[in-house]
Amino acid sequence: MSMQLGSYTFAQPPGSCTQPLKKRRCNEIETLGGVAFFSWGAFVEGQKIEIKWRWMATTMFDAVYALLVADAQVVWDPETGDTYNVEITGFTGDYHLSAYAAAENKKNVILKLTIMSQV
Amino acid sequence: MSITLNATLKTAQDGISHRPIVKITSSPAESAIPYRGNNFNTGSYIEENRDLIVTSTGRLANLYVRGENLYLYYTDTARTQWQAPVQIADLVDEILSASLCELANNDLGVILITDNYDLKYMIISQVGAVVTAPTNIQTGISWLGAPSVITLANNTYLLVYSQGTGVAPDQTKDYYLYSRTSSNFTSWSAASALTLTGLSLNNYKNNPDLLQITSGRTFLHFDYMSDYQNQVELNNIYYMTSDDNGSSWSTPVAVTSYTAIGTRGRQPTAAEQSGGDITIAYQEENAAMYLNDDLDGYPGDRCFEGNALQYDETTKTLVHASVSCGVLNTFDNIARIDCTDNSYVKYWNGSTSPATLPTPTAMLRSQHPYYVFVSGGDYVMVLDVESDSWTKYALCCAKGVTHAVGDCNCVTGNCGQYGWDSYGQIHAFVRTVGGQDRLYIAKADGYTYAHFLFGYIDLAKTPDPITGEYTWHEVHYGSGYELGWLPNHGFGGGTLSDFFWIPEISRFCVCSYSGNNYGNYGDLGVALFNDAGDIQNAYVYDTNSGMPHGGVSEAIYMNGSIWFIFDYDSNYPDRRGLGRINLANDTITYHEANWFSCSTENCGFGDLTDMGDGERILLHSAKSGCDKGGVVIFNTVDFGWTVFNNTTMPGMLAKDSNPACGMNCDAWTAINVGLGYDSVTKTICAVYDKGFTCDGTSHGVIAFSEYGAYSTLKYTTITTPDGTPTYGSPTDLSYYDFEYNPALAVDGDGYLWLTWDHMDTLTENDLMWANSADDMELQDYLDINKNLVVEWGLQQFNKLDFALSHGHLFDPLNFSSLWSVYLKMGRILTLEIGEEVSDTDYYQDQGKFVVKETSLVYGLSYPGIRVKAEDLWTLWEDARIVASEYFSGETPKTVIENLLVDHAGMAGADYSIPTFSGSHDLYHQFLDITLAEAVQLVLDHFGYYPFMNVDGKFEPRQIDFTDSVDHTYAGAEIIEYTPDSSYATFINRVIVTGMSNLFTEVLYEEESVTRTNGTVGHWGGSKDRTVWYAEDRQRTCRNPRLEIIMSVSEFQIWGIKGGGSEQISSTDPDEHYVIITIEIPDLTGILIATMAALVALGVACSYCDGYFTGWCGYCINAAMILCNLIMYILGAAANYNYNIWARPIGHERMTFEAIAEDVDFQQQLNGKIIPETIDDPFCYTMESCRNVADFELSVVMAQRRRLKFKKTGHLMDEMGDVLRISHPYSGETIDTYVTNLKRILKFGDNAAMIDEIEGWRLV
Repeated sequence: MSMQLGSYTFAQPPGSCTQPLKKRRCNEIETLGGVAFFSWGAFVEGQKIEIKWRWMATTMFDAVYALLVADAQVVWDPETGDTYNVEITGFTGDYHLSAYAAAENKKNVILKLTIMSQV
Repeated sequence: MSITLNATLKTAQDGISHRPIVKITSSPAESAIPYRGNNFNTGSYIEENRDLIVTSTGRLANLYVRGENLYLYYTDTARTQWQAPVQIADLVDEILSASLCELANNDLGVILITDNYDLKYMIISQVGAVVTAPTNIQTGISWLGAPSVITLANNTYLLVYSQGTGVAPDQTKDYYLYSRTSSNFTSWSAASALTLTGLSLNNYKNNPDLLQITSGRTFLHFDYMSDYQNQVELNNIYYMTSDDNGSSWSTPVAVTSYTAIGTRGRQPTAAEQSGGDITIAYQEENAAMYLNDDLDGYPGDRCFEGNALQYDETTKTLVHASVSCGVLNTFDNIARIDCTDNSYVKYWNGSTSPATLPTPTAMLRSQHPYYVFVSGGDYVMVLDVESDSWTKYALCCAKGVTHAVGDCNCVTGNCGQYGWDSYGQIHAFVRTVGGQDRLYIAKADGYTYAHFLFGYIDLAKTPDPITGEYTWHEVHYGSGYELGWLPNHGFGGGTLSDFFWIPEISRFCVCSYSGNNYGNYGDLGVALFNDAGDIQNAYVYDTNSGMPHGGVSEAIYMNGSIWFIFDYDSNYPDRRGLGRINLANDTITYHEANWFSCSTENCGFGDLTDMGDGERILLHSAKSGCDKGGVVIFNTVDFGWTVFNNTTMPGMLAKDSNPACGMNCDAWTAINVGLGYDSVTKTICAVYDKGFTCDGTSHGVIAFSEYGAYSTLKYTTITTPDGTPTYGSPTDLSYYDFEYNPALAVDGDGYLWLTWDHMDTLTENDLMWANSADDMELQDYLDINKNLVVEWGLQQFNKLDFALSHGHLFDPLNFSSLWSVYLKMGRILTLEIGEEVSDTDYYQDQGKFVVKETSLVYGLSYPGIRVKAEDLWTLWEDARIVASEYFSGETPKTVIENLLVDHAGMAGADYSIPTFSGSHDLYHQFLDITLAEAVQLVLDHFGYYPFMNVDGKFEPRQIDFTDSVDHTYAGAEIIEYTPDSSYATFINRVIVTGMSNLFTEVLYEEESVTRTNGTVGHWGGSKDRTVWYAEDRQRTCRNPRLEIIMSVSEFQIWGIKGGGSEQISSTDPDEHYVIITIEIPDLTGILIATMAALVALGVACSYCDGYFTGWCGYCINAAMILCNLIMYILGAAANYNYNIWARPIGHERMTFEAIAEDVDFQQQLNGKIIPETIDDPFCYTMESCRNVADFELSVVMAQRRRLKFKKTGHLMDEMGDVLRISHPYSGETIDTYVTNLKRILKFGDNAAMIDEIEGWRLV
C-alpha cells in the first residue's frame, strides 16, 4: 500500500511528510501573582501538512497537479490508519535538468495540504 | 449581586487551569411558522412552484415553471446554498406542470405536461444537465391536470396524473386519476384509472401528490371539485392509500370539509417526518375574509356588528364601531384590529379603562392615531389608539360660561347666538398644521336663520387646570344672511352633513343636506372656505341649478373636482348616482350606476372613500337597495365602474345567509367611515351589517382583494399513518395571504423544507423557500484569529462582537444562501460561555443580543463575516413615543411596566422591575421621546440603571455604594491595574431643580390691568360701569384699585364745579371684573323747571305791549335767560378716564431647588465652585430634589475614584458587582463597584478569557 490522495495512489513514497497530529489550542497568561492556563482543546482540523520529494517522475507530478487544478476537497490517506479530508493548498517543484534525466523528472517537489476534518 | 454558577462550573472557574467553551445560537425573533419566506431571487418573473425533493446525496432539488419554461433550483449536498437556476426544458409548447423524483443512478426523472396536454418524461442530472430530452409518454389527450411521480422502495417509479374527456371544470365531461408505472423511467405501463368510489365522474380531480413512507405504505392526496356554482368551484382535499406500490388503492376519504362556495382547499403536498408521522400542507382559498365576533380573543359578551370603520394603511390599524347589538342603534363598543394578522387588539366602551364616556353616537373622518367620535350635540371625543387614551371635548357651554355637563372639560369660544348646545349638528376631523395636530370642529344651528362656526383645538393642549376649559381657536363664525350661502331656512331644515379639509386646494369643504325627506329648500349644498375662514365658493341649487335640490350628503375631492352623493329625488329625475362639481368651470355632472337600472328608484351611494392613488373612489353601492348592494370603485379619470358583489365575485358573501341582499343595511351615523383600502394587498374592507332591517344575521367587516381570493398555506400532521391515518387540525403555514403551490420535503437532519410561490403583484409571482431550522449554532464557525468580545456598561447597550468563517454563506444579502437568514438584522443571538469539566459541558448564559450589523469583504482573502449585536435596549432607541398615557399617581415600577408593554410589546416574562428604593408616585406624560429615553428618565431619578440580565430579561438595578463585596480576588488573577480619571470632572456642586405637581394660586404684583373712559352729562346721577379685566372676560384679578386720570368731579356748570365722584362699588365674586359707580349732580329737575318757566313766561308774555322798551322787552330778556339756562344744562358734560390697578391671579407650580456640595473638593480647588444643574421632571418636593442631588454628587465623586484592572475571566462576575482586590504595590484592600465589564475570549494559540473591569473605588 502507498499513500493516497484522492483517487491517486502515490507511485513514489515521499521523502518526508508532516505527521498529522492534533494540535492543542492553548495558552498561559502570566498574572501579577501567578499564572492561568486556557485550552480550547486539541484539533487536527486546520493542520497544515507538507509532503516532500527530492525528485518525482513527471507522470506522478502531473497526476498530483491535476488534483490541485480540480479545486476540490479530497481524501488523504497517509497510511497511519486514519484518513483525512484535505484541501490541496500548494504543489511546487523544479525542473530536474541534468544530462541523464533530461526534463522527465522534477526535483524539490513539495505538496501542501490543509486538513479540513478527519474521515 | 453576582451570578450564581453551577457548583462544578464555579469550581472550575475558581481554578487556574481552564477548558473554556462557548455557544452562540441564532434564533428568529418570532416563531418560524407561519413562514414569511425567503426569496430565491429578486427577478421580476412569474414563477410557479411545482415540486421539491431531497436527493440521496443530500441536495434539495426544486422544480418550477418560469414563464412557459421549466427550471431547476438545487443546492450543494450540505444544503448551504441554492445554486443559480438551470433551465431544463424550453419547449415550443407551454409547460403547465411537472413533477420529479430521483432515479436509481442519482439522476432526476421529470414528468411534465404541456398546454396541448401532452404527457412527457425527461431525465436530468442533479445539477440540471439534460440527460434525456422531453419525450412523449402520451399525446392527444383532451385535458390533463397535474402529475405526481415518486421512486418506490423497490426502485420502480409510480406516476399518477389527472385526466379528463374535456377541459375542467366542465361538468358534462368525465374526469379520472390515472396511474402508470416504470422500471427505468423511459418505458411506461399503460394508463390505469384509479377507482374513486364516492366521487362524481363529472367533477374533476387534480393536483395528485404521492408519498411512500418508510413502512411501504403509499399515500395519494389530491383535490376534488365537489360543487360548482356561478363559475366558482368548491374543492376539498382527499386521500387514498396503497399497500402494494399503487396496484390497488383504498376508498377516497375527505381531509378537508369546505362546504360553502367561496372557500376551498387545493394543492396538497406531504412529506414524512423523521419520527414517522406525515406533514401535509395545502392552500386554502377564501374569496373574502371576515372580521366578526369570532376573532381570537374578542370578548364573548361583546358584538362586532359592522357599523363603521376606519383603516390606516401605514400602521395596518382598523378601528371599528359596533352598534345595534341586540338593541337597534344602541352603542356597544369601539374595537381595534391589527390587520397585519387580523388580530383583535382591544376594545373600549363605557366599562373599559379608559372608558368611552359619554356614549358615542357617530364616528367621523379621522387621521391615525386619532379617531373622532361625537356624542349627540354635546361632545366630540378623540381616541388616540397609540397612547390608548380618550379625550372628551364638551361643547356644552355658551360663550364665557363654565361647563355645566358632567365631568367633562369644556370648550369655550364664540359659540354664537345660541351657544354650542342648541342643536346637535356637529362635524369634526383632525388635521396636522405645521406639526400641530388640530381637532377642527364645525357646528351649525338655527331654524330660520342659520348660524355656523368652525375652528380648532390643539390636541396637544391640556385644559386650564382651574377652569377646565380648552382654548378654542375660531376660524369662522357667521349666519346665513350674513354669508349669503348658508340655508336661509337654517340648518334646522337640513343638516351639516360633511366637513373636511382639502389640502390640494387649501380649502375647507362644508356640506349641507336635507335629502328628500324633509323638504327641499334649494339653498343646501357645498361651500368652500379658505384657511382664514373666508368663504370662497358656494354651490347650491338656488345659484347653480345643476346642483341637487336637497343638497349633498357626503363629498370628497379628487382630480380637480368635488365628488358628492345624495339621495334620489323623483322631482329631479335627471340627477342620480355620483355627482361632480368641476371646480375649473363650476359645472355639475352626474355618473349613474351602469350595472343595474335605477330609473325609478334610488341609486344612492355611501361612504365615499379616497383609495389613495389620486384616481379612484371607493363607495358602498345602493345601500338602501339591497339587491344592488356591494362595493364599487369609480375611476375619476375614465369614469369606469368596478363592482364587487356576490354576482361579480361569487363567494364573496359566502358566509351570508342571504348573499343576494347586499352588504350594508343598518348604517350607523358614519360619514365616509364604512370602507378602507390597503394598496399593498389591494384589500378592500367594508362594514357589513344586516342584523336588523335586512334579511340575514351576518355582520362585521368583510375584506376582499382586487387580486382575487386570498390563498393561505395550511398544514397539519397525520398520525398513525401505518394504521388508520388521523389528520390533525390545520393551522397557518404561511404568514401572508397570497401564497400558492406548496411543496414539502424533509431532509436528513429532520428539517421540514417548504417551497411555494407568492403573488407579489398581479403580474409577478415570487418563488419562496423556508425551513423549520429555527435555530442555528454558530460557534463551530468562530474565526479563532479574532476575539469574541462581550461588553456590559452602566450607560450603554450590552454589546457582542465576534467573527465567523463562511461569510459568503452568512451574508444576509446572499439570497441564494440557505444560511443567509441566520445573521439578518433583528435575529436574536444567545451567548453562553462555560467550561468543559470531565468531558461534560457546563454553560452559563451571558445574554441575548439583537443582530445589528454585519460586515464582510469579498476580495482575494477569505470572506469572514464580522457580527455586532446589542441587547434589546437598542430597539428602544428607535421606538419613539409620540404621547404616552398620562400617569397620574403611578409608582415608577408601574410606569416602566406600562411603557414596556405599550411601547415595546413586552410580556411580563420579559422584564423584572423591582420596587424602587425611595419610590414615590409619578405624575407625567411622556411626549415625543424614545422609549429608551423615557425609561432612562425614570431610572435616573431613582438612582437606577437599565440592565439586561444574562437571561435577556430587563432588570433595572440600583447604584448602591453600600453594597457588600461579591467576590474577592487574592491577586493571582490580576493581570493589570491602573487608576483612571479619564471620566472625572471638577464638578463639586450639584444643583437639582424640580417643580411641584400641584398648582398653587399666586397673586402677582399689582399692575395696570385695564383702562376705561367716557362722558357723563346733564342726565347724570348714579351710574354703574362694569369693567372686565380682559376682553375675553377670562382673566381674574384681586385687590382692584381705581386710579383716576380724569374725574367727573370736574363737572362744571356756569363755570362752577358741579361736583361728582367715582368709586369701585363692587367686585365680581369670580374676580373677572369690577363695577365703578360714578356719581354726578342730576340736573334733570332743574332742566324741567327751567323749561316749565320758559313755557310759563311765554304764556304770560303772549299779550305784551309790543315794545322792546316796554313789558315785551322784559319778557324777551327773561326768555333769553331761560333759554341760555336750558342750553347750559343741556351742554353740561363731564369726561372721565380711569386706570384700574389690581393684582392678577395665576396658578403656578411651586419650584424647588436642592444643592449638594463636595466641600472637600471645593477646598482643594481653593474655594472654586464648579456647579452642575439638573432639571428633574420627577422632583415634586424639596426632599425628592435633595435625594437626587445627593445621589448625583456621589456619582460625580465616584468618577474621581475610578480605576480599571484586567484579570482572568470569571463567569460569576457581572456589572454592578463589588469586587475586592489588593493594591499591586501597597497590598491595600480595594473594593470596586463594577461599572463596565468587557469579557474577551481569545482562541487558538492566544487562548484566554480575560475580564477588563472598570469601576468606582468604594470608600
